[in-house]
Amino acid sequence: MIRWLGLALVAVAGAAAAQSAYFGARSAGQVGERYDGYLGYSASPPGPQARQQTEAINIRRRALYTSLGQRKGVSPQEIGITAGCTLLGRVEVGESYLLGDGQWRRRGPGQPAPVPDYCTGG
Amino acid sequence: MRRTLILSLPLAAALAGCVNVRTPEKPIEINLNVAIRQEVLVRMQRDVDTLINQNPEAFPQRPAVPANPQGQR
Repeated sequence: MIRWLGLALVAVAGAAAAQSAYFGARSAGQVGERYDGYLGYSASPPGPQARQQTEAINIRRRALYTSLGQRKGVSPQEIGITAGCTLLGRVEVGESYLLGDGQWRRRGPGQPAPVPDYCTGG
Repeated sequence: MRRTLILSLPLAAALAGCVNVRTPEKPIEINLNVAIRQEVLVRMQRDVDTLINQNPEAFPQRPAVPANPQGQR
């Protein structure tokens, strides 16, 4: 019964709420931006629906980084790292993020967005 | 006005040349065996920002106000 209700709710929600599980997992600090331009999972990974949405986003990102890199003669990895600078700058309070040292951190209240030094071009 | 612009072009080009000569070649190390060339980071930032802004399905942004949390029409 509960499962049936859940299915019906998903059907009604439709495209408008397509990424709601992802946003929920982001707010909970389970999914966050990585320095390399992709999303990743912190120590407490999310449920299957949020995982599925996160993987779909990463696949789209990989395709975009690859095609832009091919047009400009730059590796997809370098495009991803460049994107990471902008995306880390959008990390909100309470969200998790991963820097190049391999440590997942969570942006606390009053803390600035976690933009690494190399992002400023200096 | 126009002449000023034209006259200032060689100067701008010369300045740009100076900046290019000073750009370091060595890549920036970001640990976990990843590196990026500083020149790429600077040159590609604008294109990458356009990419991010024009592909919301790959870079979804939370709506500022959840006006329709149930997703109903």
